[in-house]
Amino acid sequence: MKRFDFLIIAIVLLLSFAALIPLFRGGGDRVRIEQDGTILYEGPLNRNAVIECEGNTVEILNGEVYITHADCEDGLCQRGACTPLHPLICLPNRLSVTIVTEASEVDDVTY
Amino acid sequence: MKRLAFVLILLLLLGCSQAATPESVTLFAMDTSVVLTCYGEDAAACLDACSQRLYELDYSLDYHEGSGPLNALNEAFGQWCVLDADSFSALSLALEYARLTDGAFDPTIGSILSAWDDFSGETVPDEDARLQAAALCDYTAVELDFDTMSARLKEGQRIALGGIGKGYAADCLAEIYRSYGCTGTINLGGNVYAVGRKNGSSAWKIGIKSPFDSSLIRSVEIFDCSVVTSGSYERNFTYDGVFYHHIFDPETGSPAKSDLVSVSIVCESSALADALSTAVFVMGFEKGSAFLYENNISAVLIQADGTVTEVLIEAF
Amino acid sequence: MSRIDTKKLTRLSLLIAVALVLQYVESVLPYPIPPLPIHIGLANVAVLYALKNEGRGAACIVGLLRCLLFSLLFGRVAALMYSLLGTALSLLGMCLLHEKRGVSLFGLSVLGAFLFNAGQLLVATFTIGTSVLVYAPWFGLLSIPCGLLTALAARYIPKL
Repeated sequence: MKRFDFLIIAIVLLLSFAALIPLFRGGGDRVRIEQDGTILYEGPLNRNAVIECEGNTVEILNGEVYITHADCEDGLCQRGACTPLHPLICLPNRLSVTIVTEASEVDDVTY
Repeated sequence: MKRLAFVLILLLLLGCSQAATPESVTLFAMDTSVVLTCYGEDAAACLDACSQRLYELDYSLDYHEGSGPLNALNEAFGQWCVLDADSFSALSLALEYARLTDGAFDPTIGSILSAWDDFSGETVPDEDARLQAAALCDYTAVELDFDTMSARLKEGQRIALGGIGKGYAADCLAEIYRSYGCTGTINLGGNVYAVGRKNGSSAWKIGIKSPFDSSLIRSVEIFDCSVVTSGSYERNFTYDGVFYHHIFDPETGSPAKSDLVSVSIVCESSALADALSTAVFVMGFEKGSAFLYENNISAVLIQADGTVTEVLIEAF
Repeated sequence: MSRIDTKKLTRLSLLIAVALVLQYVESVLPYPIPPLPIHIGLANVAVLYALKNEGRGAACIVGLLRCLLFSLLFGRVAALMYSLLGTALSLLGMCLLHEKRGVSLFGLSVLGAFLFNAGQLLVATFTIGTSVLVYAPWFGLLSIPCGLLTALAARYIPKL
């Protein structure tokens, strides 16, 4: 291990921690489901819903969000609940479930 | 004093029942994600009825290769073709709106869509093909027979109700909500209808998605009303470095060269809002705003340079 | 290419083969740290070895071919766009700092791992959306131990 190695490691550490900062900008109270870059659903966390997407089923129940069904191989997206620090992402189906915050609480979105 | 407190608490509880958690259902119909949120005692039954109705409408208004009445009309080669209640109703409304917008919205746009292979992203027709398709696009050539609920196209014409279908469906679903005494929101792939008032007295706040990023650029407060958006940012593709969006100009057969990137129409009739969102986009900012003021219709227009203009929004 | 050293060619082919095997083994094992979709990057051991003992050009050949052949042989074509950019960035960084004073294989490996992950995340933001950027800090931090581990392995494998 030579001296610039430590510099490289230090820079990597710095960049990684810098990437952490935006995550702490508020918890968020809305669920956003995107597939292929298009927003399929966006609604408040306290609204119970079952959303069928291409290859996955997302369930919002009592303030918690889970992916209850997925036809992907690894099933990684089905582990655990969705939190601001932990979005549910199904890579094979290009699906992402995130918790977001909007400045004003809207009832629905037109697009 | 105790009795008063008791009565007040009772009233409070009664009032709260209106703000109870809604029933919500999400399904895929009409080629898009449909989210229905329903408040009311019979919300569950209401949503069941809506799902049923939605699948009926999906069949009647579908104009792609399939078994629907509109597809039969498109394949009828200039002969009279009998439609069902919904497809006939939607078609006649579409023609009415075509007349209103002087052809900026035109249900016979199917011939153009066909030339672009239904906007699959793989076909870019040449100038001749586009003009040929545009020549066939002519709402004045469509004949309707109200007695037999049939229609006749000029040979080569094709009907595509994509520009009014979701609005028409939203109106139908709103009727169902009212018949069950429910309130709530209906969202068909961005086509929103807000039924009744929120919590008995307030309006629904509907956000308008920004065409430039994933934020909400504006919001409108409405009740018993619809807001429908058309934008060039929704469906588009780039081929050989050229950008093509899905809102076609019936005159040229090409995507409309408009200075607008997003049009949101606020209107009590979702079908009209849907049709106008396309028409005003095609018209462009100047002609479009003039049309809106003339016809007293509220809208939010967003231009390519980022300018957001509210037309007659204070009325709410 | 007038004189092709057959010994060198054989060594390179062996390294590519090793890289492919390592990549395959990793791909069938579950992710070591769920729910993060990230592996340790064992195949990079071969790339690092190539870099240290055969030079920049060899490392690039091993790295890029490992990427292409893996997707072709094992039918993982979808993953190709992720790994290709990641591999390209990682090789770029490693080759730039190769044999610079004060930088050892360990530093190169950490840099390579970091750039590889960055490349993958970049592609993912285009295919899935900016939500994947939540993984950024974790991928960044993990590139340190993973990079050090693979460098360790590459250092202490005796010359073929």
